[in-house]
Amino acid sequence: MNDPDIIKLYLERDESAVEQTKRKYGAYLSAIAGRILPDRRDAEEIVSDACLACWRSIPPNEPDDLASYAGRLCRNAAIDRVRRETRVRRGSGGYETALDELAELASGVSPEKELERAAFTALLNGFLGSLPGRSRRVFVQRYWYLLSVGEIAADNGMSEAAVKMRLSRTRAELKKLLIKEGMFYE
Amino acid sequence: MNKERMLEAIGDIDPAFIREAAPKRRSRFMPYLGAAAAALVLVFGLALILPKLLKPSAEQPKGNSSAQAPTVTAGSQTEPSDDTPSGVAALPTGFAPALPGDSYGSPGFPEAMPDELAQGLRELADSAEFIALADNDGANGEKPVYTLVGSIKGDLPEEFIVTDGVTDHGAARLLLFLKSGVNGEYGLIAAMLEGENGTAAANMPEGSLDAGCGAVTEFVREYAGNRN
Repeated sequence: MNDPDIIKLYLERDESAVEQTKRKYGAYLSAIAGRILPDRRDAEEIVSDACLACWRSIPPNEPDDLASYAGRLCRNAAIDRVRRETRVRRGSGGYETALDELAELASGVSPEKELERAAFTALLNGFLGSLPGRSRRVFVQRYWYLLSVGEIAADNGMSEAAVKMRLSRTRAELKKLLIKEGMFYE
Repeated sequence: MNKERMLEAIGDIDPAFIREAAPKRRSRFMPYLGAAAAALVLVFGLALILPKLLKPSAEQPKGNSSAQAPTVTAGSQTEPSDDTPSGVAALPTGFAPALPGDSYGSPGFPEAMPDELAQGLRELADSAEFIALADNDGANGEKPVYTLVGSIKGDLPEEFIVTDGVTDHGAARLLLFLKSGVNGEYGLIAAMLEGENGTAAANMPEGSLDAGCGAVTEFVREYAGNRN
């Protein structure tokens, strides 16, 4: 079943939409959740939660890209789960190390701007659009998919050192842009 | 902005970037695929090389073909490969028919060629005719290719063992085995393809005219002639 048909099921409040979403994107969502939650059962639970979140949010939302939409819900739900449940072992997934890498950038963004998440995202989209394809892919794989450096290296046919170097440069360029746009205070 | 908030904000990036960066799906069996492929190559390589090593020399005296030819026992099948030109079935490399005689009419050949067929005494239900394709009738020593008009499956004499299958062109593959009379073994004498429209191609063994396989060619022609 293609995405528009699944979306149509949601809009018609047909409960099979949830099942169709899980059938088509279950593996994709499981992979996203699995990066953040080391426990497979937690990850599977989050996938179900994400599919239900689709049910609750479509309508009013009507996403053009169901995979990315469900993926984002899944990612956010998984991150929320990590935060809530401190007993979840941290560090084994990509979440904690990715956070550490972003710490320097995040600390510089002013509290006043914290509410302007939409503005930050818009700036980030422009920044990502200006990057070479491979740098963008590596950045998104690291901080959206939360893949480990080794996984990114394998996926892109690069060495781990090259991935680290590319990420470091990209973060430095993003920091420059944030300073330039007045969103970063040293 | 704390780092968690930043990570959240990154979650809102353009879906196009998310899709673009989706990791390639990797099978958990991926590490083993290379080894499996290597094993397959080895098996197929041996299957191609061994028959050549065991192939009898073309200079050997005629009449010995049955003793040296690779044979298959009844019930076993030798499948041709599917990468042959459309309408032509492949024969195993190094194949030589397990016929007791070296030419039609020679001593021993009637054991393979039923008398009633040879003498035109036997009528088959369905008429059929093998026609050598105009562009390759084997006259130049090439592998002759025949076309059969009419249905051949099911009306061959009992001396033949015919196996069938389905090719990727949708045609039925027929492997024709003939009892050699030697230890009850069956030799593969021709591989045929029968198309949906009742036509078929028979692929004679390569070098058949030099290796005593002319008998097979004559036999098939004679057989077809007796069916009319």
